[in-house]
Amino acid sequence: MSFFYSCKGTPPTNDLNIPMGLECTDTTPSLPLRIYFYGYNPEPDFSGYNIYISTTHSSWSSMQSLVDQHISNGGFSSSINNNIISSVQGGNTYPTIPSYSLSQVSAGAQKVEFQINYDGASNGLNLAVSYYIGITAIDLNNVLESKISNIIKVDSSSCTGVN
Amino acid sequence: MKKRFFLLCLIVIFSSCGLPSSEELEDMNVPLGLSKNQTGVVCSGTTPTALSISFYGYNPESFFSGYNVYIMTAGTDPANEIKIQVQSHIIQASDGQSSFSTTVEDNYIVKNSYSQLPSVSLTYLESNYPGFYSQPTKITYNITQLPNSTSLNISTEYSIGVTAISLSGKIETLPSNVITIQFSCQ
Repeated sequence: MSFFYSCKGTPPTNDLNIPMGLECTDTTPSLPLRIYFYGYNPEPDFSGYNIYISTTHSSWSSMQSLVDQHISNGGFSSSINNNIISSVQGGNTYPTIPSYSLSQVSAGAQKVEFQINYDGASNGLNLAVSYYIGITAIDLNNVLESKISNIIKVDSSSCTGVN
Repeated sequence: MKKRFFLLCLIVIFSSCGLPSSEELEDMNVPLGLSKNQTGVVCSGTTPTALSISFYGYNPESFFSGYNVYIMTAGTDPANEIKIQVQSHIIQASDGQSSFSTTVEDNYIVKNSYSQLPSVSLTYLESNYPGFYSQPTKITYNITQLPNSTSLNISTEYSIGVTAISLSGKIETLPSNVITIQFSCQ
């Protein structure tokens, strides 16, 4: 059977489209922090988007390492919950932006806007420090998560992309 | 006879492995976050010389050939008008073979510096964005001519969208978000 699995028709292990085009809405960020990105996720079991946030993971590969830790032993690990914004402040409810609150992302490229009020530990944001933010698409049923979007660095003075 | 049939089956199976499947088509990442680069227009004094766009791409797929930039005079429903041309670009024949529509290419898809497609070639990507295959990358591109190689028209408002394409597999994604830019310098 092995040669069948080498065929290009084999379904990919992760076929969730990556959200991209993450930017701040305002040139000079303020609270609540307003961001937007673009998504196109027609996958039938698409569950929504997770927003990753950190003050220390300052590159794309470093933020992607958080995503890599999220799936463990066929399930989602809670070890990095403090780096994912809960959909409910004070809770551990994911994805950050559930698919039921989104319209049209299954039909074509769509702009998604979101306001961030608190970090992954449910503490209010403090823009005196710099935050690194990225987005993933997630499928809870099949325990799948896309790679992370482009990363932005945000503080009170600016919002810039990082590599 | 049985041996011949078995051999024929193997040939069919292996030959089907060379082309991207429908699952892969769905897995080809759509470019997203299309926007104006700065003002969206490159100016020489008060004379516009190019439209300037940027978008995000992440396409490590082995069959990926580059990005096509679709452009047309802005109408009343730019997103839908671009989408219609994208969907008309690949012609499915009754024998299962497919081809590209030269009508769409001649009228709606920007050519690269070698007057070829895709608009944004792998050569351009690899030379300007070395990390392109490993992470989502912001790509900047200037449009200097219309698809028919004539000049852009001053003061005209253009609709623009971008797709990812595989020339070998003859597959193309849906378009990115669509933007409009007026070709003029303020």
